Amino acid sequence: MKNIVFVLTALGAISLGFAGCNGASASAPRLNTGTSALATPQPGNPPTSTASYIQIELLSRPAVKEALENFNDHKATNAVEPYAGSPTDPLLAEIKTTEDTVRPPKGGTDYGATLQTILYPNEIAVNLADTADNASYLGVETGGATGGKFGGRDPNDDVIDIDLGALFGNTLSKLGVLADDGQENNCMSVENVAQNPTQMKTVSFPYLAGPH
Amino acid sequence: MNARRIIAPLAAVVAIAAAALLYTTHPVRGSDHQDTFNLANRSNTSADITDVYVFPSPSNSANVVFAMNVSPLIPAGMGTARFFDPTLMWQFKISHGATSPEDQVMQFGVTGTGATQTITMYGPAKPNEVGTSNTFVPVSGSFSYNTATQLNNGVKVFAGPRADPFYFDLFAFFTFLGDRNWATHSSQTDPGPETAGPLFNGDNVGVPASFAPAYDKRANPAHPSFNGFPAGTTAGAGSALGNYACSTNASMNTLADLAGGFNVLSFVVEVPRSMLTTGYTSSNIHVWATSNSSTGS
Repeated sequence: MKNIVFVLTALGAISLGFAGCNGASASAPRLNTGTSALATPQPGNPPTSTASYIQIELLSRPAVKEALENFNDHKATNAVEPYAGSPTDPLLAEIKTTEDTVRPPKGGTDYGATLQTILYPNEIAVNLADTADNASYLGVETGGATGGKFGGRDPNDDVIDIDLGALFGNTLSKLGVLADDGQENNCMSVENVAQNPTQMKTVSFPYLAGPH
Repeated sequence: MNARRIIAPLAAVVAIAAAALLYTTHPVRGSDHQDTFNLANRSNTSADITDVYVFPSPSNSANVVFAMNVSPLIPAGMGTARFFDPTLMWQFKISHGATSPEDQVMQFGVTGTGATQTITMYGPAKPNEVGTSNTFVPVSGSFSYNTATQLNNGVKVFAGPRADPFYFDLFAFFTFLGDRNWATHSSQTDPGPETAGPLFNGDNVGVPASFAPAYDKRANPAHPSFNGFPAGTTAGAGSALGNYACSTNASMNTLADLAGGFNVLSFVVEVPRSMLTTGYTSSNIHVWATSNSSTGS
């Protein structure tokens, strides 16, 4: 492991050095960090294509497809609307079948069925009228339990632990969404990873940290 | 991520003097960011959306920010050497009120190649078509690659390389859902390893032993776990998979801790909230992102 990381780190350093000598890479980022320093738009616009463009990729809530849908079905979900439903979109059914694998219905409590109603349609909910709260993933769906009622998704949100808590932990029972079925799996309900400072949101536009 | 796919080419690159040159032409491949076999194998991977963000503007509470990251796993130092595929359309799709078909879109198109690419934003506007086949709505303005710009309508835009903000122990995930690793599939139609056994079976598919929990499939076939748990932590008495010890292996923030961190290409747009609410009956919106091609492939 240490050897692997060492090799990769060394290579990263080499490629970083090389980037400064590469024609394309020699173009230094022209990012302006302050609002007052934003560039002005180009004086004209390129001709607009009149072609129809067909959807080949779809993404909204993080880790829903990844955790709950078989990889080979992603291509079907990617090509339909996030509200298409069964049988067009395999994601809806697989939310339940996958959850049932680790948390089968028990004593009248069905986490798989409940997660279907929460996570599908697979869209990020946002309350634009809320100007008091920061973004908080699943904030609308949980009434603010994840940190505020704006919802959306902040670049710093620990979306994986939020998702894992709902799928494998006791988040939903703590929120009173449904009863505690006693089937929490501690080994899968958190991932024990913190965001690196080099990944964190910045204070000025475009708010995403500069490249490594 | 298939570490084998990373380590083998990189080790070879280190072994020769022209290491960095080869690295630029044989980029790292692998990750759950890579959503299908075909998306992972396009010559330009900017159709592959890694994450979508919507958050209040940190600098103006009247505004809201949308971000869409594409092109996963750009190696450290290579951000400004990756560009957008000019044959694609990217969209933020928005529905107002209860979830329903989209009634507003923001779209991006790209012309040119390399560092002189021009990005054009279209909308926000009502879509010309609802559904999966779309045309461009009226243009808002054009701007240069990797240049934060304010358009004439007050909208702030950026399209270029950024550090990937996503944090996740990808290798731990692949130890029990190896199916999600695109490199375990031989084609877009190959169903992959999960057909050979149940989900969450601790299969360690595509994960080298050094990244896998100590109790991997060969010893215990059904003990999925993330890493980093204190010794003595167990799955729990009620776990349907059994009560077993959680992994005490060190966890890894794969996209930041490995190889100096990885980058993405980002579309970021900051718009006044009023542009998204005026003319609509609800300030509750639902958001998703798409990439579209003229061929559908």
